Amino acid sequence: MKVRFILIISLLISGALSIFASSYPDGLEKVAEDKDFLESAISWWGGLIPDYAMPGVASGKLATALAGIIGALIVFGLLYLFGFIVNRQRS
Amino acid sequence: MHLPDGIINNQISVGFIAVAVGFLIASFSKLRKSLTEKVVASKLALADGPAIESPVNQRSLLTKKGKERMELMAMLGALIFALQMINFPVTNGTSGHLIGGFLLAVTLGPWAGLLVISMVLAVQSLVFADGGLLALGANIFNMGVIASLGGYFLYRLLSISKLPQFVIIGFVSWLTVVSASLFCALEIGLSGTINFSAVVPAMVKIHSLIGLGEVLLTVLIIKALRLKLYEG
Repeated sequence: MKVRFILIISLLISGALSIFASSYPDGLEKVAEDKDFLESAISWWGGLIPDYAMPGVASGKLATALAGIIGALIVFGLLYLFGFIVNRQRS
Repeated sequence: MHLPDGIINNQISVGFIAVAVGFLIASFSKLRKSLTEKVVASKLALADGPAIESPVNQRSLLTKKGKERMELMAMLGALIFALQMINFPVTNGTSGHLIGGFLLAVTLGPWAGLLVISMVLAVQSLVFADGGLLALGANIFNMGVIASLGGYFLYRLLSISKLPQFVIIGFVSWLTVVSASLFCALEIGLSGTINFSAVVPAMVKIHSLIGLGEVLLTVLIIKALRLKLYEG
C-alpha cells in the first residue's frame, strides 16, 4: 500500500462517507442531555466552518462534504508544514 | 468526547492547557531527536579545516526514515480527522466515533501520535468549533495523553505476555476510550458542573460500548492499510 493512498482514502471518507454519519448526539453530549448539564456549555467561538457545514452552501450534503475535504486537507497541510519546522536550521 | 467550553470550569481548563503544553513540548523534542540527525561540526572541521561556519554544520536534518515518518504523520492525521467525522449509532439515540489516539501511537510511536491527535483536535476546535478552545487542553489530555501515551505504554507492557498482538491492540484501544471518558467525567465532576456519582458511571457505561467501535476500526484500519506497527 502506497502511503500516498491514505490521503485519497481520507478525502473519500471525509468528503463522501461523512454524509452518512449518524446525527445522534455522541456519548458525552447524550450524557450531558440526560444529566441536565448540556446548558452549561458556552460557545463564544463559532469556528470558521461551524457544525461541519460549509457556510453559504445550500445543500446540506454538499456543505458537509466540502467541510470534510477542507478539514482533512488543513490537518494534512499543517502536519506537512510541521515537517519543515522539525527540519529547520539550528542557530 | 470533545468537551465544549463551559462544561469544565476555567481553573480546570487552564490547568489542563498547561499540562498539554508541557506534554507537547516534550513530544516535539522527543520526535525531533528521533527523526533528525545532526551534522557534527568537529568531524567536518577535522576533515577540511575551519569549516564550522558552513550552515550544514549547524543543521538538524531529517533522516530518510524521518522524512517518511513525517509524511505518514500527515497522512494519518488527515485519516483520523476524516474518521472522527463518521459517527456510528451505538444505542438508544447515541452515537460514537473513533478517537484514534491509540491507533496513531501504535503506528507512529507515542510522541508522534500525541502530536498528530493534538493537531486534529486543534483544527477541530479552531476551524469547526468542535470542542472548546479553552477546553482544548483537557481534550488533548483525554484523547491524546491518555489514549496515545498511556495506551502505548500499556501496550508495550502487555506485549511482554504471550497474548497475540492484535488481541492486545484491540483490548488497549477499548481501554483508551473508556479511560478517556473516565478522565473526561472526572474533569466535569471536579469542575462542580454535576456530581461525580451522576456523570462518572454514565460516561464510562456509554463509552464501554463506543469503545467496541474503536476496537473494530483500529484493527481493521491497521490490517486494511497494511500499516506497520511502530517499533521503538
